[in-house]
Amino acid sequence: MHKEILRTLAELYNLSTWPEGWNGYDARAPELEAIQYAAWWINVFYGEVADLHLDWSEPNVTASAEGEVAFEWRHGTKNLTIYIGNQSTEYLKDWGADINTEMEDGYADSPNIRRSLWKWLVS
Amino acid sequence: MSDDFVDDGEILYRRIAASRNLYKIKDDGTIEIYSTAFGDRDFKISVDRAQKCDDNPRYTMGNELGIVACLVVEQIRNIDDLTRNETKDDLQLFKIDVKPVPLSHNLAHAEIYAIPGIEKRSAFHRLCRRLARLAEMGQWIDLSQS
Repeated sequence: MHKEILRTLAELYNLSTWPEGWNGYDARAPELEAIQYAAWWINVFYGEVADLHLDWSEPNVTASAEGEVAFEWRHGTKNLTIYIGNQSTEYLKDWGADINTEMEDGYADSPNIRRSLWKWLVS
Repeated sequence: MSDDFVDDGEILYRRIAASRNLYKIKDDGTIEIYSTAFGDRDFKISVDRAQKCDDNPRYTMGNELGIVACLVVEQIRNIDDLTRNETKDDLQLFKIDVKPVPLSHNLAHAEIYAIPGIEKRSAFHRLCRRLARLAEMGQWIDLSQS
């Protein structure tokens, strides 16, 4: 594991202590498999960003109401959210409020897509 | 104040729990609210009608700590750009609405929902992101101190 993501990993494993209804409504408890996969994913992602010689910033670490892990980064008006379930990863990037023209989503399972997401975020 | 219709001018309260990384109050006093703050496993977002709880955000927060985000119903109903591609040539447009859903323990309860119902998570994630942006630009009450 890269030392630059140790704090993120600590926050990530803390999610395993969150109970059902952790958000004050009806959220599922974060799934252990999702947390384990997210730990692998963020380590790989950090390595890919380092290979690009771009600066890393720590994500906000939380969960979705469906029990997934959610990483979120802000850079100016740009926002990147990654939802990680058991063996699946989806992204939502947005740079404004218009849902059609200023938001884009898709899968973030391939190195090429992950690298392009980071380049977009920090550009 | 109608029991079976939520007026455009009404304010809705959404509690956002502290210690769950759902928001961050920055040093300059502004706030970042994350889209996960509006998550719901059934893709219907629970809120409270301010008028029905004496405009008291503490009603919504209960004994917990966090913030209460205020959303204006008209702004929610004005979200008219949430779409889903069923096929290449078939674009599904959602209408976003608010309806009262009083509960036995919470008569102020209402829900933000889409017509037709959202089935794909990606569309719901976009809606939550939009609501988070609205909440950041609107009023929020800090109840993070006991």
